[in-house]
Amino acid sequence: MAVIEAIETVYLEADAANVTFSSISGYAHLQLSISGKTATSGSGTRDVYVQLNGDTGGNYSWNDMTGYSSSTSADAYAGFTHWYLGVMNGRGNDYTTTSNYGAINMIILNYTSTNMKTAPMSWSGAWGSTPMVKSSGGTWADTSAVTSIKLYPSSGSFLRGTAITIYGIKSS
Amino acid sequence: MTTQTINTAAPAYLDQTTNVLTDVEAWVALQTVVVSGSSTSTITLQSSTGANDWSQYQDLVLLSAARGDTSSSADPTKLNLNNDTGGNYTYMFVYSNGTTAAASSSATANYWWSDDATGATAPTGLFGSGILQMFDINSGKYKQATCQTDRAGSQTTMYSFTWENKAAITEIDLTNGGNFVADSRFDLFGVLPRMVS
Repeated sequence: MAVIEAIETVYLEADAANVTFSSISGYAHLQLSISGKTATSGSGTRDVYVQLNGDTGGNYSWNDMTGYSSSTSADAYAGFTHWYLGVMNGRGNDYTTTSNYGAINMIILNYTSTNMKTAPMSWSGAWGSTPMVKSSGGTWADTSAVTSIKLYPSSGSFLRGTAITIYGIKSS
Repeated sequence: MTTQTINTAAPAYLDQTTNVLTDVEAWVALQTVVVSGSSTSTITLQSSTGANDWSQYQDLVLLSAARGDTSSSADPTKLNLNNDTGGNYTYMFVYSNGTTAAASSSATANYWWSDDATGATAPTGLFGSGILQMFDINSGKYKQATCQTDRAGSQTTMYSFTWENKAAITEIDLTNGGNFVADSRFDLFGVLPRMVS
């Protein structure tokens, strides 16, 4: 049995409002790899949000640190209805071309534990009219095992060409 | 002088007898380079055959642990793709050295970095390191990468990279300000997507 197994790959051939993974049982940890972009035009970056088990309550919190042009920032958020996973550029907003997609990596550790809240580590990078790199880690205030993961942009849809793979990591 | 091992075995996800696809280990060790002398100025990793045919992977991951012989405390490893040395690389980074956090960016760089290798004036035995992930390497997109580096405990940096080229990645060249010293090591992995629906 593989230690790291690709559970599912989604390669969007058309714009999609969200991507949900629900067949994720049988592993110790989960990892998400995303090469993505939003189909929304206009200025500003487009963020990627995450919800677990369909929970839309204010049970998500995270801290992040950001490099933004030549400045840095550190922030904390609590009581949100989603996790903030990273940044992707909106269509038409790239300062060079629409071929620019954002890149995100995320790990959800011990996602089946019912004794502690699951905690992800994530970091992302994107380049658009506003260069930005961000690292964040969050907590889901729920003791349930994670059975589904929904990814969706803060505005609009994922653009066709977005590629997302979820990996399962086995333990000994 | 280097020792370079390349995995050209048949891909494990394809049964060589029945040609049936199966899902196996998602991370595949492709190449390892270990420097055994101090005269190595360029390390080249190329796609070839079998498991080392990069066209079958979604992502590539490069692990670097390196030190250079430039007379400096740092001698980070520069990375070029497909022999492109033009100003087609962009970066955005934020770093901390324990007392200061700062950020910087460029849209016309000539390379990425794969680590924050130490240089000749760093304490003996200290090497810098890096974890670089290149995303969707065979797509028609500009190529994106993220990288986290450490300079032997004195500085850590997080990068976002873009290579403004839509070509599939088939070659990686690694250089520094001079030469890589002995025990510098680079491991390249291919990351497979889900092979079976």
